[in-house]
Amino acid sequence: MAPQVLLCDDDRTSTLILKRMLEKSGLSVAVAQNGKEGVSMTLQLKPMLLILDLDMPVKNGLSVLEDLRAQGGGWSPRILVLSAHESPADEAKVKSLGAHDMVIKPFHPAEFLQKIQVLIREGGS
Amino acid sequence: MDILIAEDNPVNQEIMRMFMAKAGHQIVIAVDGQRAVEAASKQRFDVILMDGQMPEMDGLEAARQIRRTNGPNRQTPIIALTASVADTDRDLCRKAGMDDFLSKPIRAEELQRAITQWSGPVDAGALNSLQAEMGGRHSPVYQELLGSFLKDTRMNLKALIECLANGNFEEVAHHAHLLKGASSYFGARRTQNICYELEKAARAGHRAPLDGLRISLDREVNALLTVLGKDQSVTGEVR
Repeated sequence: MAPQVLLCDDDRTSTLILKRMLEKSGLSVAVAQNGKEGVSMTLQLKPMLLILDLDMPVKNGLSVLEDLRAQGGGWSPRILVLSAHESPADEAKVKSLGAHDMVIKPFHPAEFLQKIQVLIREGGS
Repeated sequence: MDILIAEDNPVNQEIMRMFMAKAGHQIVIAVDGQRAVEAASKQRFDVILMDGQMPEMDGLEAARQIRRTNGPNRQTPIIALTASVADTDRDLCRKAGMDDFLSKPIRAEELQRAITQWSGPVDAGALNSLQAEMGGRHSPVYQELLGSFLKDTRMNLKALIECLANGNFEEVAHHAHLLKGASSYFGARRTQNICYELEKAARAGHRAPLDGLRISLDREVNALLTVLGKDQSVTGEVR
């Protein structure tokens, strides 16, 4: 089955935790370890939902959003961005680049999963 | 420990001063909310105690500003001290970014318990919810996560110290960033705070505070590894 969720985050701890939480809620998850992989895997796997960390080396989240917009090829997943507590991104800006929602790390698991449910529902309808 | 106390009442200030001196804490007293925000913008504290009702700016607004501004105490635990015990007030405190709540009159042992709880290497509430989410502290999933976290953390700390010695600030910032992100999931607020400061200073090429921060980080991460390492199963990945 094609992954419903693509998780794009460079932090191993974060990836392990989020993957587990998503799988527990019955979603299948693929992981991209940096922004470059994030773009190519989105285009290749066409996930329903992309969870994108903004703060990554190699290629950051904002640049991933820009690339996906430029070369999305008709496929646009729902996008949830993860932003750091200490340097929260401008929510209006990330939304104007194509993201649908944002959570600030560290977040409460319930808050995160609730946003995921909403995005999946929107994506499925 | 460095503690900021925001309290306008001179009698309470004196009582706090006595409590804190006895417990061996370094304190800064701010006489109103505005001054508390100013003090919090200049120096990192381990805990902030915030009176609810103060002139100029009340405790709620002061807490909001400390959380909102890009200062050294964005993540510092803030404990509200208030006369009211109503749930609605507790809720308001949380929404303003405060972490705990003590009702007046404050008793010395209660205060000390709260300070100890909130200033340890790990916020127990955050750690418990992570463990629950991962299937319990003995579950294979949590053990795998813990093993990889402990290993990565040791590696990042070592690399950070080496890069600092070589004057490679860009790499110092990178390792501080990785440490900060991973430790946040385990409720390691002080580590997070110190890494935040380190990353900021290293990115700005601001050399002066780095050595002091490196010493604090070394101490803090070792305390964190000791506390978290206790949960590691014997069969788990070691070093």
